[in-house]
Amino acid sequence: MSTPGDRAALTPRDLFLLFLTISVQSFGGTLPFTRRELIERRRILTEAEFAEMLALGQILPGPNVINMSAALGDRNAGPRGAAAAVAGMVVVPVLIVMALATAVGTVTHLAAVQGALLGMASAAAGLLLGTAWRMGTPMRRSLPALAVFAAVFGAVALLRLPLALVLALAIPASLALHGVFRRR
Amino acid sequence: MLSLILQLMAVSLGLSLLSVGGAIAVIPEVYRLAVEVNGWMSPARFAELYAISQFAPGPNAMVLALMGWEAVGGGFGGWVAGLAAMGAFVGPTSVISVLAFRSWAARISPAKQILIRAALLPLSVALVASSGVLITASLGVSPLVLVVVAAVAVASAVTKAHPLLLMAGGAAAGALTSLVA
Repeated sequence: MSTPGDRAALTPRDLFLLFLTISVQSFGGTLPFTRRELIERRRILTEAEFAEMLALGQILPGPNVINMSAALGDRNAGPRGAAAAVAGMVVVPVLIVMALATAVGTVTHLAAVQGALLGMASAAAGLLLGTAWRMGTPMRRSLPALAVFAAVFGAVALLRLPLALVLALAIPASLALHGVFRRR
Repeated sequence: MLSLILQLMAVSLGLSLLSVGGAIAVIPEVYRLAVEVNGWMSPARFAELYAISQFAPGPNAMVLALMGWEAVGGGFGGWVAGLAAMGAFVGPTSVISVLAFRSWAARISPAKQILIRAALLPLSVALVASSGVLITASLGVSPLVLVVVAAVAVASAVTKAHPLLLMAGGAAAGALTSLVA
């Protein structure tokens, strides 16, 4: 177990409060806030360490930033640190989102609220499409990537196949197409 | 209610293991399981809860808590179900993450990591795009829905407008439309 740099290890309490601070200000995605807090404000990780941990978090199953918070918590304070970091990340946002849904539920009989929810959900759908476009920037000229994209989109959005089946076929296929299994 | 909460936890656990590229990638599967397979909510209600989850702070996975909350019908049981669903979503994958970071994951060469991420990217992009299409379809095709979806998609793709601002714009457009209609 190593802690980045020569700073003292964070306690579970520090970790809970750190990730709580990050999660409650994360509107519209946790990544920018996590980056700012860990690198710029608290100097817990360097830019390179952050990129490396995030990359591993993205390869593993589970929410990327939560994977990363678990690993960082473990590195500082073992399993209790990991649990504290993850709890800081999710518990209060879960309570907030259920309070919000409860509050919205008390006014959904109003036509204007129903209209606002419809418009908001449309905007959320539009955001997903815009996000997909942005995320796809690095792969727009890659034929193997576009083929995998088309196959997965067709299977999930049009054929409505179970995701487990789609991933079981698409992950090995994409890894092979991208040369991950090739010996170098 | 206990058996329903256990079922929700099992569903959440299964979903978490499928979330390659983040929680946002399992939204089509959450939709399939919550709306089509288990009938916990209507397509329109799913879209509504997804929108509410995006309006709250925190990780993208918050829609899982609302899935649990709604399946039980809100109230006290809904809060328990929401927390249980979220625990099942992040608990086991966090354990996997800790163990992987301690052992094999850190030993994958940087070059191989780049290749693996490049291979997973088209899957994540396809799943995010599928989520956008499914939520649009579940709202029913109307001029308001199509105009807002298209406008926000373009604005978020080409500008740095804050997501909350775009959501507020959509909400305002929807409220105004319902008032004049």
